[in-house]
Amino acid sequence: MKKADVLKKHNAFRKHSLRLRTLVVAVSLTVISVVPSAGTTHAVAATCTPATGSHQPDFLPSAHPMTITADSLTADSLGTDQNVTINLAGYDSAGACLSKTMNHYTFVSLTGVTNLHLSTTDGAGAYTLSLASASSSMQLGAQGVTTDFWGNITQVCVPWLHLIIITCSSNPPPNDAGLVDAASSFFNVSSTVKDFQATVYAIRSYATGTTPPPDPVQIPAATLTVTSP
Amino acid sequence: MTSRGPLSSRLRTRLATLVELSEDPTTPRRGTRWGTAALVFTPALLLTAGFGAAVASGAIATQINVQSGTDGVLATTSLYGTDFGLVLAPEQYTKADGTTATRNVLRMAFAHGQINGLCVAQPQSIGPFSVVLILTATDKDASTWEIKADNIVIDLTQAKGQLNLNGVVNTSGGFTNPEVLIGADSSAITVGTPPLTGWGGTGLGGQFGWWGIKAGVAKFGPITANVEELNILGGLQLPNLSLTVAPKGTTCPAPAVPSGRPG
Repeated sequence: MKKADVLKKHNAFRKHSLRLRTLVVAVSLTVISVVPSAGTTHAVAATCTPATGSHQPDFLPSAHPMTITADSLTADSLGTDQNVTINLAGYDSAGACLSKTMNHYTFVSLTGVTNLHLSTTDGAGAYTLSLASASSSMQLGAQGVTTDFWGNITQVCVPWLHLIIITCSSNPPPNDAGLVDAASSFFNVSSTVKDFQATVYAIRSYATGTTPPPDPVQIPAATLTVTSP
Repeated sequence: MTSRGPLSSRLRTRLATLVELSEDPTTPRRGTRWGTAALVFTPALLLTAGFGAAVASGAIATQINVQSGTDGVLATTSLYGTDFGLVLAPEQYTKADGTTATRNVLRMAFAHGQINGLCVAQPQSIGPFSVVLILTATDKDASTWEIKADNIVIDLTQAKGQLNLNGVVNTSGGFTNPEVLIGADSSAITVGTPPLTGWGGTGLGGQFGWWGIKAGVAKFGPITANVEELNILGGLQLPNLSLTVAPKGTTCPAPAVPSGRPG
């Protein structure tokens, strides 16, 4: 090969190499410019924390609520705090942490829960979780335990006069003036209610004494299923 | 050893007939096809023997991956443990054609667990053949939680049975979690001290904003679950281990109802 040809090839290689280096630098700059924004998103995630104050959960609930239904249940000592705003594990369209206003309920126990069904989904088709119990002895809470749940009772039917008259409320949440609240006060005397429906973001049971209580969550004959695409 | 003596004439005649039948290409073949059977069972036996030896020697953590996207079955009289977490998490699995796909599973984990009888039926493809590996470990006593294990992680798509959750109050083992949380953010749920990791993030691989459960104590059973993966990442005592190869479609028997309480 002639010296001129070698030089020509060398120059061509240098030009090619230069273009390649330029491309690498450009790509690197693009990556560098993208990485900080990814870091920003991560930083936003890190800032979502439980709200402080009374009636707040000490953990961050999922942004996707549970729908809970039961044919009947008996509640012991239900108390209600209305319009509690809690933080959730999720972001709004502006990238800010989600918060939502709902009710906070406290009770000792829900016993004799029949035909329980709990379901939750991310709303985008990633998963649907379902928990069902055909038993009539499902229990949530127990003596020596306090259970909180954050959400809204969306329907409850209260039987009067030994089931002769059944009055229902299906007002959308939050509804502070309807039969739901009447039912809440009714719950305080440990009454059985029918056709219970609630939208619940979080449930917390904790022992109030130093002696381990009976299992506060007992779900016999349960079927727990997750489906995803 | 007892001598069998000369073959009876009746047996000789029958053997001769069988030899003739096997050499006649026009006659439908009967009897056990030992060559085909060996092709299926030899790799399966090697696989199970290797798995059993590794588990018994403690050389590997117990890990069962169910292939082809077909869940295996786990059945137990009771699964009890402390420091419990359950998250929704994406999991890769191998499809029948060898490619991988992702689906979302329930990942449950115990830092310390006790199991009252265990059966796992794992569908397995060996070449063109489908068999089921059956692993059992049980003392056949429904009142004892005879299997002790740390860091149990189970990926499942469905579980049926009794589910109980509780907190732990005033434990002397150093772990206190008096709460049961239902609906907690999956990504924040951890199990173990230090927390079990290996699925991305700081915990069990749950996604931010997805649903999860955290409890001090969980007791399940009798329970039957469709599992994609079972990992026992810590110490394991697995008494009366049995591994068998069974025909396709075989599954675990229904677990007995537990009696007594875990120790």
